[in-house]
Amino acid sequence: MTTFKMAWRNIWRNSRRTLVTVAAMSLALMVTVNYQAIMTGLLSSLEGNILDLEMGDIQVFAPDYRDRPSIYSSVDEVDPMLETLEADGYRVTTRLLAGGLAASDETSAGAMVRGLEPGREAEATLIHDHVVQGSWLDPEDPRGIVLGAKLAKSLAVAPGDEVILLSQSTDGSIANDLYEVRGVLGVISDGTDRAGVFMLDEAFRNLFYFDGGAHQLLIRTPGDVDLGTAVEYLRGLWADLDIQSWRDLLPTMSQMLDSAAAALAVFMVIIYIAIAITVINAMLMAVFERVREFGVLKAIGVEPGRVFRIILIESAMQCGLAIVIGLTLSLPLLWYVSTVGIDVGRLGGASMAGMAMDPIWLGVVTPATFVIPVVLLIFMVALAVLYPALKAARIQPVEAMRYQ
Amino acid sequence: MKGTSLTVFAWRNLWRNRRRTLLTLASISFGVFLAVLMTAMQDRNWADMIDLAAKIGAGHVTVQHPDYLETPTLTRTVTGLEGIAASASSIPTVVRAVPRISGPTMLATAQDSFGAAFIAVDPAQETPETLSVLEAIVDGEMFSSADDKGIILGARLASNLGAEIGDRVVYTMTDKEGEMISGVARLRALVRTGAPTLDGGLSLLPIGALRGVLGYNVDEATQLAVFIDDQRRSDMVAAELQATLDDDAAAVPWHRQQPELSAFIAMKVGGSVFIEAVLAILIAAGIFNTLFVSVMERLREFGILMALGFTPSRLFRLVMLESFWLGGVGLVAAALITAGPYYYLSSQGLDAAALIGEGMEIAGVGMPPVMKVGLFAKSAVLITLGAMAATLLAGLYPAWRAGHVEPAESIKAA
Repeated sequence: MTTFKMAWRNIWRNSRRTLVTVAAMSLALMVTVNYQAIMTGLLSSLEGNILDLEMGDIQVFAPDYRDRPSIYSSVDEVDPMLETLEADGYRVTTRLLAGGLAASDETSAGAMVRGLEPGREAEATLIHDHVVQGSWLDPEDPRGIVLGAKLAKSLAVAPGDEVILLSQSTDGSIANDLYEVRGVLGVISDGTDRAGVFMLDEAFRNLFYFDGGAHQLLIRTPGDVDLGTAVEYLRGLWADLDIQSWRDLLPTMSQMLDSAAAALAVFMVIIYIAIAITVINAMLMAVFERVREFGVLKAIGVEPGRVFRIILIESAMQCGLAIVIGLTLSLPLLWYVSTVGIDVGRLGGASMAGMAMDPIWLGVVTPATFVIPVVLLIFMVALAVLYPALKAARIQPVEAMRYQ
Repeated sequence: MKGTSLTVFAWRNLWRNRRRTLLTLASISFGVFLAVLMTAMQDRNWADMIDLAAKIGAGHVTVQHPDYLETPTLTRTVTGLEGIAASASSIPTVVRAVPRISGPTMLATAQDSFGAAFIAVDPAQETPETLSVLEAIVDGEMFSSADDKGIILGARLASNLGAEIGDRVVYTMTDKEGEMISGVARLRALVRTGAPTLDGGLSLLPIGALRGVLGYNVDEATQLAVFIDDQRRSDMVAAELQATLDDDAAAVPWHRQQPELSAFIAMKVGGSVFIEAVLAILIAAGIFNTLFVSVMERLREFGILMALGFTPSRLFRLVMLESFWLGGVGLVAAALITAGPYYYLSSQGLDAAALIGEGMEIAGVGMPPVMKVGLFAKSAVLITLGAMAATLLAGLYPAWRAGHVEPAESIKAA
């Protein structure tokens, strides 16, 4: 009889114990696979919000702008830069930035005004797709502005309502004009949601009497260029400007995304330690029930190595069964979390490290969704079964046959 | 067997297979250890964050205009604050009740202008217990009185505005009639907390001076911030306070003021309860396996006991007592292994800044830089009961099986 056949029969000698062990492993696998999919989805949507809506990959400022953001510190000579960047395959948009006060009929709130050219902006960001009420900026409508989600709520305005913007223009006079809300954005980040006011580049220049270049260049790297390399390259081109990757600009968020994988692994290991203890105990019992039997096997010439293998294979079979069952049962759940998603209700808009979370979490299924939990499970079970298998391999034939 | 009670009998049975019992105990205490530390971390941290949110926001319970929650404007005020504060203070857990005016403003200097949030306070009534940023004043001093002509800014905000101590800062906001109005103040002090939202966007004003600018009465403000000694009583205090108020004021607990923070906490707490439940099921499966095998090994023995006059219910109780002992000893072992790490984490804590980064904020509220643990009594009771229930449930079927032994068959079988 082959070792495999023997092992397969052995695990069904105590079918209830095998079923419980396999069920525990399957449950653990189901939970970890789905958890992995949801976390991957959440992290990629956060990263998407950062790159596509808020930060871009790389930003360029005048050298002193980030220390003291002032309307006067702008990057000049923007056009040749844009040409160079585009020739190298970078996508880029320019933004004009200024602080001010936005006032509706009844109340007012601090505003972070951003002027941009919709055509150019659409090359580099997806913000035009993120309007939840009304519509995005239109070059034909210089009076139209688009507001962050919380700003619209605290001003109690909707598309069609009027908003006054008040600030200080570059000549020191009061900048003051009336605009119409064209659209309201979905959640993006603390700053944009609470204070973001988007308007046309041209409208910004009129409001603030601003005729400089741009305060911020928002750059997307070509797909095949690594972020660090791109930053180095750009710094080489324009040594006198402040050029930063989104990771330098959002260090906390960047660190959080990096450590998320580790946090996920810790979670899985915790679940699997519970599984490992169950496996050790179940296999130890399976070994001690059969001490006599192993003694006989040894006496008729079966080597310790083969006994060791029998136990390993028995455990591998239970683990394999659990992988099949666990993954099969995960599929409908995975389908649900990756197509319908989890509606987190009021949690949508809560922010972590300044970036808002989407109101619906969609799971993302990648090969890693299955590979990481399965590999970790196999590893932990293999570790757990070593001791029982060694015990079995070391059984002394004579003593074992006397054993009751 | 005479003179030996069933409890002692069960205890001895447990130690007949020492290795198996020790492994099972290890899995129970591992589970309880994790559950205690995870829950204790959450209990303490969220309480700390809620307190912090209350201190930079509007207290654990806020008395405000009934429509303020929906549309917060400076036109929606409450009056008769002194009377309300007095009735708030008469509620046992209330520590303090202070009037505040808060909202958005635009700050301008000769060089630049920025939007910011402001909180107008009475320096005589606020302490670091009610306004945590008072501890973070790094330059200059707090207002001398409620009518001081000063302003205090977040350090980053001040540098953005190019304002130095003593410089003039103009603040503009919408007044009680919905008109734009401006006031002038001198920069008195800077606060540096490490939280980006505060350092880059918070300003403090003296409440008396602002009342003058906005045309408020002496006893009028947008909020009365009520602080209590335990945030878990917020709902209770809000309800008690509401009963004393007229229709023109509402007492709102912190989680309605900051629904996103509250939802985030609920998600985290729900997540850890889920993980703990999965762990409990997995560990219970292991316990079931052990108990079941130990019963199947002893079928002959149970047959003899029954032949000697043990009733099925006594055998059932015997095995249930064995699982009870497992649970009990598992909990004691868990307490022993948890005590050391728990003590360390509750006194020293973990350096959160190193783990998740400096200036981490959730819904705009800074995370405590050192994460400590502190288990609520309620959580401790729940974990103990949960562990005991999982162990006893795992024992039910094996115990039932033991009670259904056929004496003659089982004695013959072996």
